[in-house]
Amino acid sequence: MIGYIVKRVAGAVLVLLLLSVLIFFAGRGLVSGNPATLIAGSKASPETIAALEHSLGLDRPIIVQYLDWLGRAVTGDFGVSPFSGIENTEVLRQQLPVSLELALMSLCFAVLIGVPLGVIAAKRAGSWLDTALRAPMILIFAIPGFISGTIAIFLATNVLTNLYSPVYIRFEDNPLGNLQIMLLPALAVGIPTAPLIMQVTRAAMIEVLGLAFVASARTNGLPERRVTYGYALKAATPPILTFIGFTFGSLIGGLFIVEQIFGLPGLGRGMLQSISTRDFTQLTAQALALAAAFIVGNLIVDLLVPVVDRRIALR
Amino acid sequence: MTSELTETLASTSLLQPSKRRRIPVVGTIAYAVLAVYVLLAIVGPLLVPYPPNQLNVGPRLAPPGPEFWFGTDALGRDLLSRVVAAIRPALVAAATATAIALVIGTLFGLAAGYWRGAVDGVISRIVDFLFAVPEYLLAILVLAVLGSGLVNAAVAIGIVFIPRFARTVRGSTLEIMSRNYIDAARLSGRGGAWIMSRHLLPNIASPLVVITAINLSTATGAYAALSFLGFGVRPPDADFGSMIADSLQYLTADAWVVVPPAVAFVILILAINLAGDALRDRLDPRSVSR
Repeated sequence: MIGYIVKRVAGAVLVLLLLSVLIFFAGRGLVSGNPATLIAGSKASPETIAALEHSLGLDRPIIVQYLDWLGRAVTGDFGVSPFSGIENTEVLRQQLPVSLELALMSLCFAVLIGVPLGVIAAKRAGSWLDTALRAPMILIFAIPGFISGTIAIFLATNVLTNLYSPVYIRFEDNPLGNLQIMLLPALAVGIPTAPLIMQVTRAAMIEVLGLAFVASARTNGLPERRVTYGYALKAATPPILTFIGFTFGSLIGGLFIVEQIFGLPGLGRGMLQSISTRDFTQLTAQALALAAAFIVGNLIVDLLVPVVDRRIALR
Repeated sequence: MTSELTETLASTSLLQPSKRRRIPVVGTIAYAVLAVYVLLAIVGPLLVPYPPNQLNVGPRLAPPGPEFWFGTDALGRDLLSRVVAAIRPALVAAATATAIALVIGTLFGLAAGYWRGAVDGVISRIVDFLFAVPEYLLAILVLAVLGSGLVNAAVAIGIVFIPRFARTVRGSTLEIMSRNYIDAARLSGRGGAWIMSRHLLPNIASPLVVITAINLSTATGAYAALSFLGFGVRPPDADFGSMIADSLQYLTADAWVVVPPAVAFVILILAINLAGDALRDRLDPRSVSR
């Protein structure tokens, strides 16, 4: 078990390290030319630019700059944005919780919709109910996040206006108000993910329901509900859980879109703003935070799978 | 782990009725709709009633009527003309992105499956890494460097999709490599390039066509999403994603403006999905019997 945990954690750290290289150089690529010129303005004298370069450490070799950036990032220090003058860590402290909350709520909705529907479809596989449940999923699956987001903002601004606020309500300030305004954005991200979770649940359940132990539980007189949810669903959990980890990537795509649509001050929208202002220090901080959250999420799923399935050989 | 899941997904498509065979009509309709879109992408700009980018051809935010079938947008541009004009960038971007991923991914997959050993080790590690990165994050980082625009967005999507092709091609190649005719070709002194082009490529063509169709659909969605975020063709040119994004601010009073681009886009992506499914059923009979 310990070997398994160490291996997974090491793998996650390695991916994050490689990704940090990519993020750092993407940040530099955002600024075509000298970042110091961009910060100081094109009219600044060469002396001013040279001084700025030196003070920001931009005159050192790029590898040294990367290692310095990474070393600080590990301790949670992302420096001060030379564009806005705000500490980037403070920006992350504001934006990360918004994105995490949205992602977690969306995931809950996707699971709460996808898993029960998948179980019902599997129980009645091949019946009209199975078809009736899956047919609308074809359409939902084809609808990209920005369409579901558009429908959600239409509902928010026209019909369910009490679930919308043009100004973001922070959870610390007003928990209930915050959950209210996050409901539609989370549904907009969660619902398009649900068909995939439903499909995987259905496939896993059909397999498990055909196994001998399910028949044996039934012949022992256990109520059908208990056989389905207590035994079969438990046995079908590992592939479903593994798949849920697989949907995190599309959840992140959803964050970019839905935060933009609803004007939520999260990391996705923040990254787009950093790109448009060419604030590379802020962009790299935000991208690294988003990547770390994603990788930690996957790591949690990886570590949960052997907990729910003791049969998995812990390689 | 991820590859198993992708395979599960590919084999248990949502569009697959469980025990019944699919009605072939759906596939035919999908092909026909797709053909209309392709045709409109080519000749559409010649048929539209107004120049798509011309301002104030009519009143602002006019509802649909005999003069403007789909109405007009906030700048008085004809929505029908703009929707038709948006088809070309959508298809060009999806095709370019898929082509980039197809070519590079296939080369990587062939190399890994053919030479195995260290080559496979390096390529598989890169592919594993790319699979471990959220796709939209990677695409947006690439676009941060390249800047927005149709070609750049297509390149970003193409890069992000490379591992999907590389993994499938590698798997299929490994399977073919164990066949006797590969040994025969090797013993008769044929080189790697000959074996790859004469034996491997033709034999992996059918899974390759299937994943190309799937990725054409995801690429269409991805490009529209990137365009929605402002990374697509530059204004004033029409694009599904940016047209929908622009219309969001009129949703309270003039919600109509969002309908033509959104519906046209959803029909397009449904048609690509269903056509891809029909194609897969034809090329991969195993997937139907499931």
